[in-house]
Amino acid sequence: MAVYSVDVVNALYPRSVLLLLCLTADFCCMGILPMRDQWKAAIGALANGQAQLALEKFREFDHWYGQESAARERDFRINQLRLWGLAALQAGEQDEGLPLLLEWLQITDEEAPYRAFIRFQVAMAYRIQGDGTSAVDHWRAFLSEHPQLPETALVRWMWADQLLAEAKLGEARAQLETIIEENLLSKPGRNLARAALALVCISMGDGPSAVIQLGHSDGQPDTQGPAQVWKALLAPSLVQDLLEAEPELAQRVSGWFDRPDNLQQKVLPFIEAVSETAGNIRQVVWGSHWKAQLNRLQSAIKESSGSGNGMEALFRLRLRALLKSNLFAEALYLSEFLLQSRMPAAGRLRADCHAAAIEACLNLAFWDKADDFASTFIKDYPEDPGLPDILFLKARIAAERKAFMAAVQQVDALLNARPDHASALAWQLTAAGWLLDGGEAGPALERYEELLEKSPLAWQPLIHLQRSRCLDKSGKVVAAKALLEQVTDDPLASSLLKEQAFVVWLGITVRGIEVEEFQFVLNLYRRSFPAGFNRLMVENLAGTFAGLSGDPVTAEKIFTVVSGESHPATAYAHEQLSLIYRQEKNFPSLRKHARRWIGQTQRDNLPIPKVAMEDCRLYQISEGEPALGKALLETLMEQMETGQPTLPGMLLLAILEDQWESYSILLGRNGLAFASWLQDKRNLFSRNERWLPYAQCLLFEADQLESLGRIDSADTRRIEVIRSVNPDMLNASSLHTVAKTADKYDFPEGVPLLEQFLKQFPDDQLRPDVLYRLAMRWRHSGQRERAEALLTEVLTQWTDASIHPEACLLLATWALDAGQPSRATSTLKVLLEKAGLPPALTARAMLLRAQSDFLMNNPERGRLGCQRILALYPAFGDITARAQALLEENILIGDVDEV
Amino acid sequence: MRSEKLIVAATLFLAITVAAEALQISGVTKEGMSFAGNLISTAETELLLERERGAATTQLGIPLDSIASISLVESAQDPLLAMEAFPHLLDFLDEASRKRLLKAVVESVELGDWSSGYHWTSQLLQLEWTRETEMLLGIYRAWCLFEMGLFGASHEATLKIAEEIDPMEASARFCWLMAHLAVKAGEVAEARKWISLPTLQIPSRTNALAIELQSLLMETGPSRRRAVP
Repeated sequence: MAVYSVDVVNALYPRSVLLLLCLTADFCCMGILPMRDQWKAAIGALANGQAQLALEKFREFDHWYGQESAARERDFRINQLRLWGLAALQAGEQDEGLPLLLEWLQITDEEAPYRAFIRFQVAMAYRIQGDGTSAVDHWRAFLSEHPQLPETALVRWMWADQLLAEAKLGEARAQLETIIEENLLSKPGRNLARAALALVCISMGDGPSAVIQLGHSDGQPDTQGPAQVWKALLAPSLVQDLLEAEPELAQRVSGWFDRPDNLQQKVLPFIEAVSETAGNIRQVVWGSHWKAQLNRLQSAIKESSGSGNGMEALFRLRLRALLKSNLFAEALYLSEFLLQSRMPAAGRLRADCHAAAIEACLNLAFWDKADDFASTFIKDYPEDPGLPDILFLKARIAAERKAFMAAVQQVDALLNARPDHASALAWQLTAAGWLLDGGEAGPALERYEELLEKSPLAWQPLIHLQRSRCLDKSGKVVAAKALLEQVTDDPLASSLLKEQAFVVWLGITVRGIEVEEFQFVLNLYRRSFPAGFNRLMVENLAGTFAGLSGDPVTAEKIFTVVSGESHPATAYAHEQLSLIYRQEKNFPSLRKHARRWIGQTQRDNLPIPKVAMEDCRLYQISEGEPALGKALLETLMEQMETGQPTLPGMLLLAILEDQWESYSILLGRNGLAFASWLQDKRNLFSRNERWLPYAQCLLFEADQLESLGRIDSADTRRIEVIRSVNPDMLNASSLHTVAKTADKYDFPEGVPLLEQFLKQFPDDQLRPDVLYRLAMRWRHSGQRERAEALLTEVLTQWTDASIHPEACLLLATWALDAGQPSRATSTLKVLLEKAGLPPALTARAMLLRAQSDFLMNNPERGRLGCQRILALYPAFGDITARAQALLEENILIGDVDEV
Repeated sequence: MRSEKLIVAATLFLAITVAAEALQISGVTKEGMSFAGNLISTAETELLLERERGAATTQLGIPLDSIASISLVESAQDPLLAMEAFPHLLDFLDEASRKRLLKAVVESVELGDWSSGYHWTSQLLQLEWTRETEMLLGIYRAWCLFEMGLFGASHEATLKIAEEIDPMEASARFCWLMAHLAVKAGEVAEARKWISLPTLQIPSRTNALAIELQSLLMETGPSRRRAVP
């Protein structure tokens, strides 16, 4: 490919040559022109773009006149070599042209005119010949001889192309990076160089760097340039590459997608503009370069349109990116909009949209909505190939609602209908996990054993880990530990799985307070995973173990180290430190730690921990002086006034009230009573529509009134919050209070508020109380399954909650009412194994278990249970009376049976 | 309480009183004869043109039923202001003039002239347009109603468009309207859905309006809720 043209030669036409020719003799024989005319003819042909004719004329000139003294003069020879060489290159005769131009380069000095151009052409000619090494030599020489020319960028770009052809990606990348660094290109040119660099990054598997290059814009964003087309074109493959490792980045890149038909249209005007390029030598050279780049872009678009990157694939990718980056609401919106859309691609995406919507709803705890999506799809599209996946998702909805048995039954039905489905084994594995989560360790273990034989080798470490959890739950601790040890040694197990095995193993030894074994496993973990993913969690376990072993000094040391890090696991360490200082009644340390903790959460933009605020209050009560300094107080007040939902505002008010005399000075309200200040604030918040702090002031007043026994006045304020404040704006504790009040008075807002709490605060400590209340509501409205699912969540997930024993008893009672004594027994087993259960609750649990025993044909244990109640809990008259009655009733039946 | 009819009446009154300048038009009759001049007035059956010939001025009456098409002559005159008094001529306008008028209406709405915008979008919607232009006019009309505080009427107009529009092709302005109407109705979740839509479409809309819409998320403060019964 030659990049020079007629215009180029025009520019090169040398006046000195004509002068020289005027002096030479004029003769003609055998059709050969006189020397001057022959030369003029050669140059004329070259200027007219007749490269082949020009070459012939140059050849004839050399043959006939080459030995003439005028032609052998140095100046003439220099021009002859250059023009003849260029004519040869233009005619595609590289073998003839290259020696001529190389000789030219040899006899001219570095300052000679046209030197950069000739060097450039020589390198190009070598490249066309496939001699990359020689081309590189000349590019290198060009860069060293003409570092100031903007064409160095062009040379580096061609060099990078050559390196790519030789699969030297790293070196090609370095060349392109230098182009961008040297900044010799125009803005669109630089953006195109960035796109070329991004392509290299993608080939090297470095997606994040590609994103940086494509996302870069110097100054004003270049929204319409070819670089934008590259961006849209490369986005799908980038999203694919980044989806697992960097989902947020993948999601951002999915914003670059464009319609495939748009891309071709966008690039056409640029191709047309470049085709019209004419002018001087430089413009032609650059024009050819851009043309080549745009042709490359156009071929990439054509290739992409044939590779299935249509709208359907783009939307599918975007849905996945949204789900992976935890943008569940957006994934739900997109699914809903696509299901409404009349685009042909949308019709083909219905299964994906339903699946994504269900997945999003599950993560948003919109159980009913998830169920609606699944049911609609199952009803409307029974023949759709995506049906099995939706049926599995329906089972997942049940599992997420803690209705594990129902979920397992649904998966079993699905497996019966589709035993050969590609995901059958994965479904079985999940179902076994649900059995385990549902407290059915024995049947879960059986399923895992069965799966062990059928599953691929890579799955076996995971199955072993799950088996060990089943064994542990079944009380077979030794066997469980042996399996866990096996997983930690298994070469097939991933690092993460091995770490999980260590965590479970350590958990078992902590529970059993096995000092030596704990230390052994801990050291093993620390040696194997010094920077492990679960490192902080394990250190927390180590701290907990030290505390349980009566070594608070070590525990404090460990927790102090962990709490210094920026990680979600540090919250536990902070809480434990707080507990240690509280137990030691070391209030100065408690205050210091609380302030450090608050400072850290503010730095990390995390919610202000309630415990830390409580610690400040404890300090004030014990030491009688304010815990908050002026700066911290101002920061917290600012957060309250701007309605930050992450601030425990009511606790802050309590702290202020405790030491109002000091704080009023710091707040510049000296002399004003706290109650008046609070009222002023409340009115101000109402005027400014700051509903969260307004609600907090009202709820704080309500608590104060309640502590004075003025329950009705307190509830009036809480009802005012229900009436006036959008619950979306409330934080967990405020929403809990108003939901509780609405529930207490049986307001229609009760259920929606309780449900909203569950959606909005899935991990809050108040969740079990809300679950319990909502379960009662469902039960009263006859929705037994929903009620049981909620209580099962309390039973399995919130074992430390104060409501947990009540939830167990209620669930067991409902199981007995439903004629399911075995479920009642397993629920009561969880409760009776709890340490420190109050006697009244133990007696009630034993009575229920005795009832179950009689129903399950286990009269001996039933009688024994009743006798124990009578012997151990005589103080609880109603329970003993019912135990006595149960005993008598069953002795009678037993006697009749014997008779 | 303002009503849609009242607004229209007030708008027309204002418009007619200010339409003082004569409108320059040219046109062709059904027989192929050309005519041009300043439009003085229109009666039920004919329009009256004034033409200058040297120092003299002549008047020409053209029966409306003989007119094939009318073209607005390009001038510095505001086409909306000039056409205000002659709405019944809209049917005769050629395509270029209609487009000029449409452009002027869009500009007028974007500059915040809600009452004129409402009047003209309603007028232009009486004509035949492509589906896309009809949607655009409908959206701009609903936008004017919203800005004039007629939320109910705006909501009704928007819902009609929503039935026809494909959400994956909905303009940022339509999303803006749906989101704001949802906020007004206290439906925060619905508002969030429409706020997100421009960024979920392919290609994502990243224009200034889409960005402004994102900021609505921050501004959607709580709305007062109904009292507990």
